[in-house]
Amino acid sequence: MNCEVVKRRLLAISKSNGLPAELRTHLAYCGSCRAWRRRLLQLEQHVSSLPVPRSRGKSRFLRDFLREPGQVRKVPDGIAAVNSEAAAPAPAGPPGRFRLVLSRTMQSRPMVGSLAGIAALLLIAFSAYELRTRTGEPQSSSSESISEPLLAELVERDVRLSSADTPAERVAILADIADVLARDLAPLAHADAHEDLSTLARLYVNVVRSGLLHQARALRETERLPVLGPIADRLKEVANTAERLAQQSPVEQVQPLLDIVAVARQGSSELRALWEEQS
Amino acid sequence: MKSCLLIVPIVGSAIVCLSGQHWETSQRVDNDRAIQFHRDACLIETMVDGGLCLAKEETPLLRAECCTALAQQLATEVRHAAKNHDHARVEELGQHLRTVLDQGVAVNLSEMRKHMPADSSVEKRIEEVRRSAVSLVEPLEEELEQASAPQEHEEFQNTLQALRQGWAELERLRAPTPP
Repeated sequence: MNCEVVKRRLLAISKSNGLPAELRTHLAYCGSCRAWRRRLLQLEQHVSSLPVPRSRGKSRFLRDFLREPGQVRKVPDGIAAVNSEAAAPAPAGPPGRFRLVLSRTMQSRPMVGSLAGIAALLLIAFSAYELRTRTGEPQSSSSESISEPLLAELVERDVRLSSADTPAERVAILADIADVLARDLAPLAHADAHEDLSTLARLYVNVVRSGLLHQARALRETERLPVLGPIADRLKEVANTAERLAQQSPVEQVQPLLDIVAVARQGSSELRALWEEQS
Repeated sequence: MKSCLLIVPIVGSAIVCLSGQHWETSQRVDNDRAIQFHRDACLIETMVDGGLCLAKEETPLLRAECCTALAQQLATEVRHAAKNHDHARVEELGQHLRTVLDQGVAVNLSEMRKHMPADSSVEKRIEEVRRSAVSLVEPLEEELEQASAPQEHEEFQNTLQALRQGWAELERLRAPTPP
């Protein structure tokens, strides 16, 4: 037995297996083969500690395992091939049971996901509600905090008006007064306070026609767009709110609400005309 | 699947409870604002008309006159509330009255005096407006002090203090007496 054959046979057997008698005899006399075997044993010993890339074999195996029979899968070279399981009948016995358990586990995942989704939605809705309630953020005109009564707000605006020197300041404060009045539209409409709603509508119409539009015409051309743009948008919003309320309100309340719709739309378009005239 | 069926009614009832609670709150707020509007309607009208007047007037003297008219209406309402023993309203309106006297009448009269020409007729008008504002405060102060029962006296203290502060601001503007 020459050294070449001995080395091939040493490669073929594992460490745990015992050496055949003829190899052991050769190794007893051949130093180079003994050295070669020593290196081989060292290699075998350290090979398990070598880093290896992460395997996708397990997940690929599970996917293939759970794929319905007859389902077509793509092979890497792009050629469609029928899963090998398609042809073969489903395995019986323990592997079949294992497959059933596995498939149930996989199917329960969407349900867990949907439950988590519902819980998250509920949590978000509740948090948003709490936050809005605590901060008193207005959700609609009807849920405005009553901490600042209309009268107090009007007194504050009047005092500001008494020291406003420019038309721009006056326009801004008058627009504020109109907004403050509009905030009580929904409460009065919901409370069926016909007379008060008529009073409010009359005041709103006066503020927009005799105050806001009158002062807006006195604005310098360069001031018109930046000052009047946001006010025109707010008037439009009030018109929409009043229109919506008119659709839901009893007949007696409709006219004051429609007056507000008309004046707010007219005001909005007149303000637009003022800055468009300039451009 | 069974747990899913259980979750749906729980989520549904939670949403119904929350929206019901929110609806109740907003209904209550609406009612409160409607009540406030009804109670203050006359003053609200005065304030809006006063605002329109203030926006039109160009000189501080005319604005001071507008503010005096607002103060007059507020003083009438304070008196009315005091007669009805509505302490909270007396205090609320007393604060508004002080604000209008301080920041409306006094500030504008002071502004007018700063920029007035050396013309005695303007000074005379300033003094007239000042006196008419003072004449609102002094009798009201007396009325509150005298009309209030001993237990009410405590309740009106804040209002009386506010009125005195407003009065002091106006007194500061008294025309200097000629030597």
